[in-house]
Amino acid sequence: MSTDGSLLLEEHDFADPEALSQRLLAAGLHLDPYEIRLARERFGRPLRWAEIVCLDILWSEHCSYKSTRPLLGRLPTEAPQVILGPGEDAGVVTLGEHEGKRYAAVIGHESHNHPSQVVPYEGAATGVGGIVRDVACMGAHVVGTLDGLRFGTGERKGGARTREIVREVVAGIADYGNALGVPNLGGDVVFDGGFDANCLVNVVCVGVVEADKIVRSRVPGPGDWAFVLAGKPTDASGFGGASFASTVLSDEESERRGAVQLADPFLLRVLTVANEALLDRARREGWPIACKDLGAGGIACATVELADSGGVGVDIMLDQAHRARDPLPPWVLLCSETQERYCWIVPWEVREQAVAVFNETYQLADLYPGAGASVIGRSRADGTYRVTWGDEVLVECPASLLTEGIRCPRASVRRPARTSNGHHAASAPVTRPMPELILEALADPALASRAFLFERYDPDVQGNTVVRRGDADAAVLAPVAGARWGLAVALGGNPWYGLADARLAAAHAVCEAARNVIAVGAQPWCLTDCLNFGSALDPLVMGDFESAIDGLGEAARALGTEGFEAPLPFVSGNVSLYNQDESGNAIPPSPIVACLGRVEDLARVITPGLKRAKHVLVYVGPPRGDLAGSHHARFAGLGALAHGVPALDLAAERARQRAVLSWIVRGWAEAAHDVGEGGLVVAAMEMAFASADGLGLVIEWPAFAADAGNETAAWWSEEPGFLLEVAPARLPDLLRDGLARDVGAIPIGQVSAENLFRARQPGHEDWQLELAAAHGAWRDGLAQAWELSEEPIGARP
Amino acid sequence: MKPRVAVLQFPGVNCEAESERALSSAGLAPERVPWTAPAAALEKFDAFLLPGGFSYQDRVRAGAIAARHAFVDTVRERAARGVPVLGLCNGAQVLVEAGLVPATRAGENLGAALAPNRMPGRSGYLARWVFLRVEESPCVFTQAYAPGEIVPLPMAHGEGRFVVHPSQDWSEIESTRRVPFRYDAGAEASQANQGHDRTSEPRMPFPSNPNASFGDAAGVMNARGNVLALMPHPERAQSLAQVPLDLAGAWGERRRRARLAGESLWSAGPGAGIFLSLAYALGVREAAVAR
Repeated sequence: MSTDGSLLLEEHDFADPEALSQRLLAAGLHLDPYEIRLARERFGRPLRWAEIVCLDILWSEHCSYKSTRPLLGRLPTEAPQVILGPGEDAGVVTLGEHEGKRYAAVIGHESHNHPSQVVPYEGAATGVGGIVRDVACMGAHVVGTLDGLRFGTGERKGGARTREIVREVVAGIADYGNALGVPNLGGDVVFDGGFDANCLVNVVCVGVVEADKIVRSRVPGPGDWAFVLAGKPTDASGFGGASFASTVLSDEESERRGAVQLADPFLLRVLTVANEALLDRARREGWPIACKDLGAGGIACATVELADSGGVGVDIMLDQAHRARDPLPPWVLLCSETQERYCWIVPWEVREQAVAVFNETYQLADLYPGAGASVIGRSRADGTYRVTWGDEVLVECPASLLTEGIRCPRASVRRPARTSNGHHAASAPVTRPMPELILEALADPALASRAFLFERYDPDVQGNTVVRRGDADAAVLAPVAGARWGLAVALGGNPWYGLADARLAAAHAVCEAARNVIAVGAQPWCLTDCLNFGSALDPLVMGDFESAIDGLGEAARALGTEGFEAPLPFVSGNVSLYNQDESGNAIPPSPIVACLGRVEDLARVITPGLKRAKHVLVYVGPPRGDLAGSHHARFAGLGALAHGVPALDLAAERARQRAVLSWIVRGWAEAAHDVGEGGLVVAAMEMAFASADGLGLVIEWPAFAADAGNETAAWWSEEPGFLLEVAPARLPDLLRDGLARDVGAIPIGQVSAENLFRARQPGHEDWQLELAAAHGAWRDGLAQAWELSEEPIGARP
Repeated sequence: MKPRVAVLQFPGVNCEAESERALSSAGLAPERVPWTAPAAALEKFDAFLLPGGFSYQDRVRAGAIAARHAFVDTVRERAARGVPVLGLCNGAQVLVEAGLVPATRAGENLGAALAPNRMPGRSGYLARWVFLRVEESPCVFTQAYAPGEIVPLPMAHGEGRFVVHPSQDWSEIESTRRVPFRYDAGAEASQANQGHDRTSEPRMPFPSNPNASFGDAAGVMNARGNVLALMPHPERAQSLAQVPLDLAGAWGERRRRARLAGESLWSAGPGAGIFLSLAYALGVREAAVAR
């Protein structure tokens, strides 16, 4: 097998697709016999080696979504606020106007699961870098990132290895974001044995751009265009990364460290400064311009997509690309996923001026040997994608042939949902006093404060932060200084629900993300998703995937966009398949959803911290009694209940969300918190912990209990709901409006000046807990995920 | 003509934009000077601001390479003639590496350094809000504060621990009153902190003192008080909107009241005083934002 990129494989090579597929696999390329036959047919001739390498990447699951594209088409993507939906590097929605300028928000969602399992630090760091460049290449100023993390516990792979992955992934995200000067806006972290062999690192990025200055990732149209490569010199790092992310991580495969890219936030920071200078120059001089980041598939993927979506072809002179000194086979140069690179499209006649921004004005080569910009291609009218190395032709075919992608409909078998979300679950035997249960639960890494993790991330750089990650259910930014409006963003997604019912789990993820932005006073404005599942070749996995798509669609349509006859739109997203262990056991189905919210008036934003004694604690939600899928059910080993999913009445959820948002925006609530993992007792405690003045709570639990005889189920059930702090003077308005909306809002307690949590029943005290002790347990609980220990994370004492 | 302040953009800094906003709000005219500009470009400026970030990728040590940039020679020369110089976070590290702070009478360096944070049970980078106490001193950048005032600011760094070489004595920095900002316990100046004793041992426990800085120092200046190296970020607390809603103390209370009373979130925050002090020192009388 020749490694000369230009060699035209012989006709006989294609006579036996099975054999050729095996030979390609030995070279690390993953085209199966069906795909080889299809390629030969489409090309109408034997393919060149470099063309095969391109297809290996462009037809990978990661780039082509070949197993899932038709299913993704079922998600709602249209709504008045959507400027650019799925299709470009990131989604764009309207945001607000200030001083005569109209602004839009840009949001993207990516996963870097496989690389993070192999080389956690670089895998996580390049995950952040990739999604940041996806947003930046739309001409947007990047204003923040979030990270959704799922780690194992170490039951199977050992506590030490799992903790090393935790430490390295978090350090990779921190070092990258902090150096780049992009604030962290939150995220979530879950520890479950299902992720022992395959962690999840999902990253979300938010940017802001003036609506009339959006840069598209396609050649602006017919004309004479230069393709300018800018950034790090191309090297062999990350070669085959995309196809690596689309396969099973077998043990020896995890030795393929070469496939993991190398991050450099310092270079990207300088490149961002230079990019902004080029963009300013282009806007001043009126140059039409386009841009795309180089991610999966490197130069090949970016340049063919830029050309084809602009309706033109391109001549790529690969030998012009600035690159690392050590010689590389041209087809590695063409497809390697070296980080921190963009491809700019500028009119051919100003190409030297564009290159000068990087090489002379900002002298990138002085800061990183070999870095800079080079003209690597020139558009051609006939739609042909042609790559040469000197006088050798590496690739020559219609651009659409490569971008057309491939469809692989997969067998899909739906599992019967095995939820046991009966409203009145069997009354759990109350074996231990509540204070004792609470202290243990708060110290459990599943429920403990996330401060030990996110205090390693900078939440304030750029000075736009109004509510920080960790201070509320969502972060809030004022991205345009002086403007009244702002944006909020948060994640949602519970992996334990996925095992029981992928459809209901996905619907819960959408509702949880939306509740999180509502709790700070923002209107849910758009959604992104990252669908992390097992192998596409497993019908049960594809059945779960299809169920999740149904759940996402149902919830997004049910919640809708308030004020319009439109769904809550999905504007971008990502699919990550082949997340499983070496023996093929898939990870728990993990749909992770991000919701971007729009804040009409930043002055109205609120947080969970209790504000004043004698205020009323109001619960908004269904009577609580269903322990299905709750942390308590897992923690107390309640069998089937532990693997259930709480019921979700989408119509009631919609009414509840809109009511709570209205009350917050009208200033009727002083504090608000989403009731989620850990149930009402943990949510209420967190409101007390966040109080600036050490306030406490007195709560009568029968007021919100579905079954007055089952205190445990009332406190610990995780059915969706909200807790609000309401001034007594505002309570009548709120309760009356609740009745009018048919939304149950029940006073259940009062804020007290004592730093104490007291539970009561009508007429007598039940139990109480010192908040100082509880706060300590909660604050330090997550540290055990960093300790040097072989014990599984979250193991019972 | 508004006084002009150069914002030195070494490669890898990332707080230029918000630092420039803070200078403009105080009635000054900031101008970003990229690292590729000639040092002569600095002549026209009335003051210098070294912003936060990771200049030169923290290669060798944080601030070590930027401290040898041609800009710093000009800054050193102008600072010796009284021109105000404000170094924030990475900028503070550059000033300490360059010996501009704490310096001594004859300008030779006292061997101070910004060492890695020392914290119980963890190491490395830490980002959280802290409370600073303003000390009585001739510092150019504290005139808009009252001595003893508590100023909440966010800190975010990995090497922010002010120390001196063991062969030297932290007491000389204290005796010449070069610590205008000190980490303090809490929202209100709980216990008297005047006459901070001469030992270097930090008096405030973690997390009040987030990095075990000698003397709980958050900011150290030169003898004359026109060059300040401050680790926390005042530009990230320049307006009320940036103050955490659940922060303890008077500023937290003011932020909470703003939610209902409708006071503009864009009025001055706790960090604005540093930029207003600079403006006052440069002769600006009608600052754009009332303090």
